[in-house]
Amino acid sequence: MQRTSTPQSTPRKAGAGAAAAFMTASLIGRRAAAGGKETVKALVNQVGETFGAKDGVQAKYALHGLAIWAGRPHRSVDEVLKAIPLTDGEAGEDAVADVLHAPKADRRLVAGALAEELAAEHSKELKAFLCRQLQWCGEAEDVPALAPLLADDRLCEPATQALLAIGGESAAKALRDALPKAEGGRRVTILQAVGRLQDADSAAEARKDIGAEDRDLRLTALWSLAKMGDGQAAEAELDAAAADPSFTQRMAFAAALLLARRLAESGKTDAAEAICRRCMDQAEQRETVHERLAALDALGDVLRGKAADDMLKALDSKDLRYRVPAARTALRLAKAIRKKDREASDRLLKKIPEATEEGFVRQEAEQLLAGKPA
Amino acid sequence: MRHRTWTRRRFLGAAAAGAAAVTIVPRHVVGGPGQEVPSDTVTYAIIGKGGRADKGIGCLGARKQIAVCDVDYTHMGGPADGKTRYRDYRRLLERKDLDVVCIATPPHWHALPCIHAAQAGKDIFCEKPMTKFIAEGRAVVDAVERYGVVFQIGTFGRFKNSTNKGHVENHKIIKYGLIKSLDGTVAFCNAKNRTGDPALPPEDEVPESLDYDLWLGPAPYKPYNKNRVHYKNRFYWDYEGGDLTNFGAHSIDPWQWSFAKDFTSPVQARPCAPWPQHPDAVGPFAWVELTYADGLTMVLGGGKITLPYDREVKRQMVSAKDLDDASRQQLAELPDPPPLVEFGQAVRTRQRAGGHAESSHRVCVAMHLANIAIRLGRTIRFDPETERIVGDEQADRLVDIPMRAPWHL
Repeated sequence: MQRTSTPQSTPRKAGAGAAAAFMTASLIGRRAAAGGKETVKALVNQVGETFGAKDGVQAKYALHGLAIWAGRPHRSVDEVLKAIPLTDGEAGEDAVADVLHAPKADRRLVAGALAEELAAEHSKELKAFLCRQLQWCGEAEDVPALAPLLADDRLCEPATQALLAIGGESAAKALRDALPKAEGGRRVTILQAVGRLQDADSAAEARKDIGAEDRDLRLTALWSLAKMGDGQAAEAELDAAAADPSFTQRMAFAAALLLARRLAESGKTDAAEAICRRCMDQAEQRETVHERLAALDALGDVLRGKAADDMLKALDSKDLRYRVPAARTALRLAKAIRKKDREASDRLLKKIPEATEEGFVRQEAEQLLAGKPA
Repeated sequence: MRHRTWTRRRFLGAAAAGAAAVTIVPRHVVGGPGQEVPSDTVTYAIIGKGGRADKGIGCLGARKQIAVCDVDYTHMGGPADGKTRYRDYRRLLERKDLDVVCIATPPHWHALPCIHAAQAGKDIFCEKPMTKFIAEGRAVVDAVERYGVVFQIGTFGRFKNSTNKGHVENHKIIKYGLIKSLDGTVAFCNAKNRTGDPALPPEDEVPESLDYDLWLGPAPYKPYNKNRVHYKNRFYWDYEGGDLTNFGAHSIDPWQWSFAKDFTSPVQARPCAPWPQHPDAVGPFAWVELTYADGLTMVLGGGKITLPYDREVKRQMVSAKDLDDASRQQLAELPDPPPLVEFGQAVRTRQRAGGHAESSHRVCVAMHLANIAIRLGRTIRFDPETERIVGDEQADRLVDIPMRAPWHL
């Protein structure tokens, strides 16, 4: 039997650890903010131009702490009063003042100073560090300072990740505008980013890379277009998915199923179903059981209760490599559609115990059918 | 005459084509004296041949290692040859004779090999922690479930708990909601707390044997330093969550099973740790309190700083004695959880293994929330359904961290 350390029993009181951290952060933040942007910039200079410099350690702690403090959520006075007794004197009063003082102003001060330093004469490693801090506290106002870095081979990646953390239309636009001019590794980085943001306005530019010679660029284009739900890319996705088995083919297959799910989310169920069925056919021809299962699962996500017949057919398979996992897929679908399509759910649940000996699957199916907790 | 080797994969395929409703073919049906029984022997390869490597793979049963893969060829005894030694796991996954991959890379390189292995139809043994950030876990779970492969995490304490009468009773009471509130029920879990060096020396020269770009993979680019790689990576936020995620999984996972929390996550993480933490190097902590929606609390301690947990503890587990008569009667009528399936058996029968992907993901969610709370120096709240942090946009940025291109979920 697993043993634990002796439980400690103390009278209930407010969490000392959390309160202390909150008050400490508040004190640091308030005092730094009092010095304005110049305090932040002085800390940046103290971090040093060389990555990992010993002399810059304390400044790095302070600057990173400021970035976190500046990005704190706004708390109501009640929340603060619960966490910190007012009898704590200066620390308690500071914490309350911290709440009453608008976090937005503090964030602009810190993030704004970091963003301005991106244009100053600093090493690329220091600027990469500043980008990482903006990944914690940056906002839409900081996008113009990050955008020019997309043209730099070393800084494109940290700038992109900061823009992704910021999100929203201004970040998407900065990435979208930079994409046509980007080449090599930077193009892959930015192409992936617009996909992650599901920026449909970048689809036309992304389609140019579907046939790229560079594998990373080609696969990134397929994935990004799938994330965007770009129906025009469907044939290219399916063609790549139909190739001889390889890493590239498998990534394309996964991208095709992702595209199907994204199309279904936007109501294009017929197109989504067509992709799933073609993927199933491809997998049957290649005799790749795992891909058949993935296509079946996607079909379930796309058609919901209307996929019941396909699921039941899978449960009749004589191939246990297909049938046993398919029973789990069928159980997931049956549970997901239980409220909206009881009839289809019941059909699946009744069939499952015939198809598998797997204990938890049989138990859950039987419990659900009997109306008991599963 | 050339003897064709029967692999497990080929055998299952042939059996499927010929027989009806076959689950396991008995040993006596195939093979003869002195022959390997094809349905018993599983081929595997190790991805990440450094420290842990194949320490946990014994759970596979009869097995044969056919290859290793590492981005540092000194770990493999020589450069990649495309036959038994590989530098890039994507090439390794193309082998048709490979059944299982054993992933023992640094944690920033756990999720993607798991996903790609699932897409290649390979079963997976993955060292803990399964992931480096929360969104990775859901992507791994999705891949494993969708492609129907078998997954086992490299920690096994839950197997003991699942056969212990007290833990089974605890599990059933909570799973079926037979007790109104678990307020004051506190499970203490432990992790070590070694820390990283915030003052790394300036850039070293990358050894010729190491493909540093591939070692980094999805992690942000930082200049090479020998004190950030090969085991020491675990003390830097870019690659791992420190000992909290390294050892915390061993402690949390069995309790997570006992408390029937394999399919949910804490709703709050409250830290007791110094602040600010360093942006690169993992720092010290005292404990983190993780609270579930039903009031259950797990306290993850063992940190460098010794501060006692500050809330009342009523009990560590529940039992039938905590129930009224009606609930006790219900408990007796409800089924016991089915036995957890050992990895080797799961691979051979295609069932879900006991240390499956969803449970491993939920363990990691708890640990990642703990680290996010430590790094931010404040309590954070989490929605187990949407798997996002609520009311704290800055903290929520750490749920789905962008990967370095061309790597992505």
